[in-house]
Amino acid sequence: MDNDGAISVVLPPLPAVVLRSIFKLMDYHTLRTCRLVCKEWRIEASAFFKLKSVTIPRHFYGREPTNSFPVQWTDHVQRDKACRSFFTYNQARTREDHVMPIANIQLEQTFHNNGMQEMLLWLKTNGEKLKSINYVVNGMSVLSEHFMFYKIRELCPNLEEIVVELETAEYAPELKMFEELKILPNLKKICVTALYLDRNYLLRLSLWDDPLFSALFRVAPALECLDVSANEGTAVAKAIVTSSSCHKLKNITWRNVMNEADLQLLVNLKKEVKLETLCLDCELPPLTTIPSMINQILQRHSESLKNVMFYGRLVEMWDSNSISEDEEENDDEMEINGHFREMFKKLGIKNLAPNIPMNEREYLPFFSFQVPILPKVTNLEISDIFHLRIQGNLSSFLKNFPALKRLSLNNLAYAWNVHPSTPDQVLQNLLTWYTNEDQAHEGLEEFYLDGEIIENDAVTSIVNTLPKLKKLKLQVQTDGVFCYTLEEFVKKLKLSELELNVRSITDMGWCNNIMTLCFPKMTDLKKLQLVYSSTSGSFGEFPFRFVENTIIHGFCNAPSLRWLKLTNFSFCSTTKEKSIERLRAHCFSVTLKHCVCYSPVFNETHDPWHKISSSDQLAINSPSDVDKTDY
Amino acid sequence: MPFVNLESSDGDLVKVDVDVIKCSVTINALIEHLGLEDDNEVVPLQNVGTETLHKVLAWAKHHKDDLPSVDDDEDDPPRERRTDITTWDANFIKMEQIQLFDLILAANYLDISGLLDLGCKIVADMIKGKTADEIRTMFNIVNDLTPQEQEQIRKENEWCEEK
Repeated sequence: MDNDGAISVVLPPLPAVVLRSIFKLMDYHTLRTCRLVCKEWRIEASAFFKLKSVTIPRHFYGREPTNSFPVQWTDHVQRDKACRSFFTYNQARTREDHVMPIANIQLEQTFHNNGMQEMLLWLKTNGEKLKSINYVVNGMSVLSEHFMFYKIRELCPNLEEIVVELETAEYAPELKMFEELKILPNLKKICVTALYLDRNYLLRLSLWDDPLFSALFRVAPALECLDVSANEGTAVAKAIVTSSSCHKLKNITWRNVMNEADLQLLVNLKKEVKLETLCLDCELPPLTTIPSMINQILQRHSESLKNVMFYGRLVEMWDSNSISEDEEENDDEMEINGHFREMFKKLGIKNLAPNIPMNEREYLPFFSFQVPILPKVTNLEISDIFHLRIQGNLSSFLKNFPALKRLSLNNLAYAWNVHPSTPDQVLQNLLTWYTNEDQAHEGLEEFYLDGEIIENDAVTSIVNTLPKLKKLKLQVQTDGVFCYTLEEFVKKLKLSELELNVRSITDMGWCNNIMTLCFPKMTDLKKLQLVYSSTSGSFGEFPFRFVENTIIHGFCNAPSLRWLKLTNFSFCSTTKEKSIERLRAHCFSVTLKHCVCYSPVFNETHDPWHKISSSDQLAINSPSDVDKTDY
Repeated sequence: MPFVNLESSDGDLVKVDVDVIKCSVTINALIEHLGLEDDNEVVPLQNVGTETLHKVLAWAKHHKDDLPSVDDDEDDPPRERRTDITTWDANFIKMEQIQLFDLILAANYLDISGLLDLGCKIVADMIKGKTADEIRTMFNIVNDLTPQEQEQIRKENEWCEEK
């Protein structure tokens, strides 16, 4: 094999597509050399000579300020964007689950004082092309950072976006530094994020003054997008309301809204502001006035809103009576709770829900959420707001969203209750919400419902209410009847993607019926995901659903099925390979997650699940294999 | 149709079991779109010489029972590309560089991803550890970069030099 030395014969030039296949396999250092070979190699190798996506855990930034490190800068791509510092990459890549090789470069500059001179030199030659900067404020020197903002303004006249990451709780940025940016004519997005959220930080931010955020809005006459993810809600809202130059604002992502005063400021947004995206990612306390305020906000922007997202977080809250000074908790959790209490007191929140167990939360004072008509909204997501209550039923709810294409409802177990008083009534109301079908919604193509188990009748109703569904996710409770419900899917829907979280009560027969009869008839089904979970405690229960030959047959007869993922299923060890081979021959992608093998040999206790072969047992218990048992 | 006749760029005819050559997307498409039903029909391969064609067919025959590659789960992070080479493949790919290049070009022309990956892996290994000059010599490439451009590239390369 003469693969190493020089040769005398004329080699054919490798086409670009082959070169790319070769470069794809190379490490950064070899790519670096390849870029120096010739012009064509430079172009092709450059496509891979960059970081594609790096997710860095929050604690990565939580280093001591005395740490120093080199910072390198480059604009090695011709896309007016710079790459991350190699330091950042080098650190992140040591955490293998945080680095992915990729395509489009995401510019991120990490400015630190000890790299400042280098960075300034770099900005002098490249700043004019720069459109986006990610600036980590580490608080080592207010003066130097102020100077950096001044330089950014001077050297980066075409800047469109700046993301300011607050690295440490010990430091509040110098307010005037943001004002340095005010002459930038193209600045469209300012994003302030907190990287180091600890309990001290929460209190620290709540004490910040308004002028910082007023400054943000004064400096961005072309601001279209605001993403604020710290606990400075009130200050931000005030800044919005008082600003006279932010009428181009279109997208608001607002995290950690804490009280009705915050929302009231959003209600009072300038008339010129026409929001297209509203994302409230917050921990709204269950105050009776808040739903009407949300309603007002939606009403106010009803003609322009296209995306509406409400994400709640189930934060424990305290009865006002229980907020007292006499409790001294020692462990961390209690300490954090104490800080929350302090914050609530500062924010004037008194009417808090009692701290009661999740299974009794149906007794909480529920929001009454009456949605206005939003004619342009195509995407609606509501998640994790346990005390939300939406009046009416599914079809009447959807009447308010005539253009809706995608609906995602997660963990809203009590959203559809009118007057919940007992668990039985909760379930009954839930059923009513889905089964009351007045009118079909012809536009909805994607419906993702998670966190609540849907009864068979309700599933039938969803099918009838949403005849144009193409993508569906449901959590269902199966019994012998469910397969007939699934047949409704086949008859009425042309689903291309289906995700069923199947919770089985009586695990007899349904699986065969579903797999062998229904899926082969779903001619458009391309992607199928089944998650099995059994009820516990009764005789014969096993946390895995056995995949019989008839089931394999059912999958393989689904004509368009190309993507299959099974979670919590079990295969017979003697036929596993053959079964998986059959699936692979039919589907483009087959993924088995938390799947096991068992050997159908009875031991003296006559437990068919008892004997699991040692190799399979190993595969089950290995953390890496449990999550990614791909074939 | 169990067999198809392939004509190399040298004009030689090679009769091939369709099952063997199914790994070639190009030939599969030709068979499908041209509706070749007669065993005497000939598929001309203007970019593949006889010797290379036999090499390709040897590889295809050995791998004819391989299953198609499976995509990663969308929910999971991408994994390392599989770069391990079997013993058979390692022995198969032992050839002169000119033959290797012809094989890669043929795999590219016939759209046989497995064979292309194998060839590219070998070439990537050949390049690893070489200087730019050595690579140019190895591949008979003329350096068309100006000194200024080379200096610029060196500056750009600095970001991945560990200090």
